[in-house]
Amino acid sequence: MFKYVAKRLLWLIPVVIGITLFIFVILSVAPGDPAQMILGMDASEADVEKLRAEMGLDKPVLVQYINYMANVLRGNFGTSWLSGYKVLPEFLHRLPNTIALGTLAMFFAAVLGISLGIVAAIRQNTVIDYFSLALAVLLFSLPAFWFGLMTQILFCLNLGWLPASGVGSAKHFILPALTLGANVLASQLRMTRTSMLDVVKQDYIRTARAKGADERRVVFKHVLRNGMLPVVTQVGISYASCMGGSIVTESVFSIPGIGSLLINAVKARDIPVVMGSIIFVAIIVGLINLLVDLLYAWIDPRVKLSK
Amino acid sequence: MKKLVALVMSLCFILALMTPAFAETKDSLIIGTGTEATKFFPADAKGTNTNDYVIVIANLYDSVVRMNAQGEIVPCLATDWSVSEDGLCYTFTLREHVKFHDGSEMTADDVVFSLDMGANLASGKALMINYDHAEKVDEKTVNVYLTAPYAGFINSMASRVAMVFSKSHYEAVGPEGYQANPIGTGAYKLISAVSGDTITLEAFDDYWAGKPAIKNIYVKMITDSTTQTIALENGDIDLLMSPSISSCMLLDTSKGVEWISGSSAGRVTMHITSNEGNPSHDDINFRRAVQCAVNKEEVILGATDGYATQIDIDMGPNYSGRPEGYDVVPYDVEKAKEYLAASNYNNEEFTILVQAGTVYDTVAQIIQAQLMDIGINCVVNAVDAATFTDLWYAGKYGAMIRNTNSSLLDADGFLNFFMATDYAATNNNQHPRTQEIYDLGMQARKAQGEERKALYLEAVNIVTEEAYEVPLFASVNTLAFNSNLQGVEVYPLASVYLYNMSWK
Repeated sequence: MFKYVAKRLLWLIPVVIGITLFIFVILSVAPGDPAQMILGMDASEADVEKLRAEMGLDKPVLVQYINYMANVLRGNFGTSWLSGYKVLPEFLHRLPNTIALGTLAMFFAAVLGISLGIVAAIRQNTVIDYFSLALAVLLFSLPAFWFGLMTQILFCLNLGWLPASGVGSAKHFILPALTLGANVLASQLRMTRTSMLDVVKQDYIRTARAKGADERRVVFKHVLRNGMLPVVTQVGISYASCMGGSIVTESVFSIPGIGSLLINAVKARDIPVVMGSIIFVAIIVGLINLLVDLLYAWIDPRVKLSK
Repeated sequence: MKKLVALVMSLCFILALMTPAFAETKDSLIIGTGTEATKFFPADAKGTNTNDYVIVIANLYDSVVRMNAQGEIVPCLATDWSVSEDGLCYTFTLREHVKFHDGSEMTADDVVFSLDMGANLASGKALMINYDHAEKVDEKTVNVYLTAPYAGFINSMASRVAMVFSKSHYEAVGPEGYQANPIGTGAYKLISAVSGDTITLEAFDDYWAGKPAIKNIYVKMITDSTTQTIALENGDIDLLMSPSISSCMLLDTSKGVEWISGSSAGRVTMHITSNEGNPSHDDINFRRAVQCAVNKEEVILGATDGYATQIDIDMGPNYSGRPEGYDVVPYDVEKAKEYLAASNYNNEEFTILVQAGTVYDTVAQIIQAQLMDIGINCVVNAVDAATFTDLWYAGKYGAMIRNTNSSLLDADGFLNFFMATDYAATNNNQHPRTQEIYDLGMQARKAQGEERKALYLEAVNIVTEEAYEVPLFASVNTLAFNSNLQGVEVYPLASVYLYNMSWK
């Protein structure tokens, strides 16, 4: 177990190097001169060249990348070219918002999605099943920006119950979590239902019923536990995706999270912020995937962690 | 299932209880803005931009003089000023008993130090045209010397590079320290700035004009335009910065909310390139065909619901030194077709470069349809801001549409696109007659009154004759706000002066 975890953590190093190198090269060849963007159109060519030299942009891309990574190894993630903020504190300041939003959205989506999926599977071909399927299709089809806007009009403008944007209290996260979780809820519902129906048809379920086990025990002890494996994977992937920042939801509700930080940095070609954010997100996603794999082995002891 | 429902309801209840009620007292004002201010030191070596200036810097600091909502120069830190006969020396009499936020008194040394530093910034070179140096005459008098006369120079003293900061504080903490703990003479002090979220300002009780009426200001970042208007209607914010005209129209039916608009320092113009590889290169008939084919009324109606003012030269109606009696090319489809027939155009692609998702994107699409009507194979290249700047500076476009601000609100701003010098933006965008236009512009900087206007007239007529540009409309600045807020005015440079505002 320890060896497995250590091995997976070590694998994160080449993954981070690969991702950062790829992003660095893409940003370096993308149009847009950061020095010119900072100084504006009034700046003379000499001023622009001077700033490019200060920012190290006059060096070859590979040298720039090596210098950057060398600084990262010393714990220096640099400062934002755009705002002058230090990247690490800026990321850490925004991370709680993204974690709060992602966790609340996942909680809402997982609790409702899995519950409805179970009920739909148990009551297959009933009104509840049809309703759940229709709900899943609806939630899956709604674009996040539109759904977010509709919730704002209803709960903020018409009812006046909730704030339309920003952070500062738990209330601020309810609508963004609903918006972000809607899509995930739909996939959880479908995945749980399908997985449960697969398991229900297995011989061991028939055997359990033949042996006289009551329906509650059959569902929760045998069907649910075995049907949960793909669902757990799906939850892990969705959660990891939320941790990468939900650009649309964060933009619609003006949440200062990782998604909005990243998108603004990409637009401004703010390489230190983009690189720093990518490194942290890659590590977080890697850790969540590792956690999901460990959970997988705990739920189903047949799954052995390879050494 | 019942347990599940109970769990979810309990969670919602707990979340609601955890929420601190936001006590909106009427000594506070919440401003919503889509663009974040990040720099709070006006002499930052890497520059400050409009976002930094309009809400925060404009209220933390005072400039030597100020531009009012009508575009006129009025006293601020200087109560009086005069210009020497040769136009090379401006003498400013400083206001007495002006205090910085740390309680120290502003001196002539602070003014000299701030101006010299501001003028040496990359943006300072463009905003303080012909600036040489400042000199302290006595404790309350400062002389500013120019290398050559410039009639619009007084406007420079109202710009962000003429904002006064504390010399002693700067010497003690340096530029980074100043950014972290900005000290100005403005009506408000910076309390905190949480990136991506809220900037908090507090009234400066010792402000030279008296204590501000509103004590606390919260500037909140709201990027989505629909969310902005909902937040205003909902009462989450009290004042919305620069909503689009279409957003404002939506607010017309809302109770307790109103909006105002006014002339800005910007003008939206289509710049036609003379670069090789484009149909417009070395073909005046093609450029004139484009010039005649653009129906500006249709553009203004489609892009601004008719709120913008049409322009026929690349200067706003409120610019000082703006000439009159210039040549105007009317919209004439038949004439456009004649010019096109006389040109060397052979159905090559003519690309309009524009920044995606902006109102100028809409403008480009309307013009694209108009040009296609006369037989020009026009395409719109709508790209993100960084790519736009890159393609523009590299000269890779047939025509380019953008809004250009003259921070000085002066006719000289028109020269931005005809700088025959080392301005990076124009290096790859030279026209055959750029030097001639540039020379006229340089003469105009030295001239005064009617002579100055005559030189600008000659320059703009060359631009019209050569069809280098199709000026479209003067931009509109807007503000939407709670109807109980008074003293709200639209300024040409889009700044808001919070000192003037109060609750009814």
